[in-house]
Amino acid sequence: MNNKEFLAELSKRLDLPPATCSEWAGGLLTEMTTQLTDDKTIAIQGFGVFEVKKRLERVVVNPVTRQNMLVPPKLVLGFKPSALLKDKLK
Amino acid sequence: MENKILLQDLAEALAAHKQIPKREAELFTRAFFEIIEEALHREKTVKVKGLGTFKLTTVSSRESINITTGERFEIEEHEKISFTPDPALRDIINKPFAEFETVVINNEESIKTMEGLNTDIEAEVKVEKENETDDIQPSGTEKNDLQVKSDNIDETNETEENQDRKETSTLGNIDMEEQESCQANNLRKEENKTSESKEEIVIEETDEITTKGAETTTIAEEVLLQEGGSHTNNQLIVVHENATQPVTQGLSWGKAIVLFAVILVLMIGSYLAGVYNLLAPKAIYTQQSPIEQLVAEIPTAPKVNIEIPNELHVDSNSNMMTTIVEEVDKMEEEDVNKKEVEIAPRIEVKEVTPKAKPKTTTYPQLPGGKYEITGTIKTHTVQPGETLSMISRGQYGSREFVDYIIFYNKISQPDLLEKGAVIKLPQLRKRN
Repeated sequence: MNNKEFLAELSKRLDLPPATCSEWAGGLLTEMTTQLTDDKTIAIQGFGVFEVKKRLERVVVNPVTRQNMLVPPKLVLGFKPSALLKDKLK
Repeated sequence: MENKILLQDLAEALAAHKQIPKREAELFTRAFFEIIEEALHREKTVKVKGLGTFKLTTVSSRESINITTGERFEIEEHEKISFTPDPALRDIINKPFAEFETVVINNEESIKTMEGLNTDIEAEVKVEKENETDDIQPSGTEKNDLQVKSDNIDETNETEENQDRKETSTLGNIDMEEQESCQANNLRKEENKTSESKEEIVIEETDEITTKGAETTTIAEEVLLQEGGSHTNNQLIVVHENATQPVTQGLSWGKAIVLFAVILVLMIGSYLAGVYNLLAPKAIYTQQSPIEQLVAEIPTAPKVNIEIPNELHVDSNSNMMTTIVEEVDKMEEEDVNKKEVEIAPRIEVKEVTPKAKPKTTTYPQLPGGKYEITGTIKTHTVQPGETLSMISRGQYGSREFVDYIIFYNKISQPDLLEKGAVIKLPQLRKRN
């Protein structure tokens, strides 16, 4: 399912015009991103947890050229599905 | 729980942001995640712009062990949700660390040290060789004999010098070899014309060399000496300007290839040197004609084809001569070269040692080992956190050679390897 289909489904379910729907969705996502960049976790009941994690820097070796490379530290957004969601999938 | 944002908080923030009723905002947010969930069940992938992709991936069943009871049981096939953040979102999240980039570390340094080690070995070999020749000939060194011979053929001093240099740098310097190959190629053509005059020389190869030497004089004058200081032991680096096409064309590619070739030939050189040491003592007591033949195949680099026929001949009658031909042919060179490639696609080392006692080096062998220790490839300084098996895997590609390293270095406590310790890595050859 792509973004277009997703928004169509959303507007159908809520009986809202697609334009407002996409606007609200955009608003929701910017809200989420600001919270996440503020180092906060977003926990949605029955869905899962979005969390920013820090990956430490590490040294990797290119197996072909034997080059040592230092990969910098980075922040990564992770998603952990809730137990409820996992159960439903089984 | 300040750090935890719930759905309600999100809805509130959304309501404030878009100026809509709280109830509607909450309904919307709820629906948002519900639809993602439902779509996941239906379609396996959901892509939400600005957030990312949720994907269901199937994990095939596998066997596992219950850690408390030790029982084997099977984890059934199940589905897993994976989430990949949108590139835009990922970049926003990673903004604090955005300025960092992956950097290559220590690369050039390690290559340099490798080269250094190789030249060291080469230098050792050379010294050893010279010692041998001194021991061998009471009347004079090989070089002197060469001189005598060259005098017979009315060669100039310069020729001798060239030959000497060829000798001394037998097993090593590729820079030189490559140049020589260019020369050699040109020379071979000319050699055909001139060789009739030199019939006094018995051995064909020797003949070739001397002729070559003669021709080299003319060419040597047009040769440039370059960066002689950078290499050890009088190694001569010659840039041949007569060569039909420039050797270094396209610096980055060419450099890489040349560097590769350099390392390759250095390694082969040191290998042959080790073998020479082993073979020489046996050769003494058997015959005086060519005794040992060694054939090794050279792996070909992607573009450059390297041929190094090394021929060592000693005339057994009275003159003891050792001449070495070295050739490195480039594929791209003309047809003449291609012919030569067909003629001599291998390294060939023929060694005849006169009755004398060369220095021998035998290495203790690991009892019951599948491989024979024939020398030292290089030394290795233990880095913090490194284990012997890591070193073994790095050098030989497998952990099974740890035993050889331990044996060769007489390490009593392999588990307590100290950092900074210097370890010799043995050169191994498979036993028959």
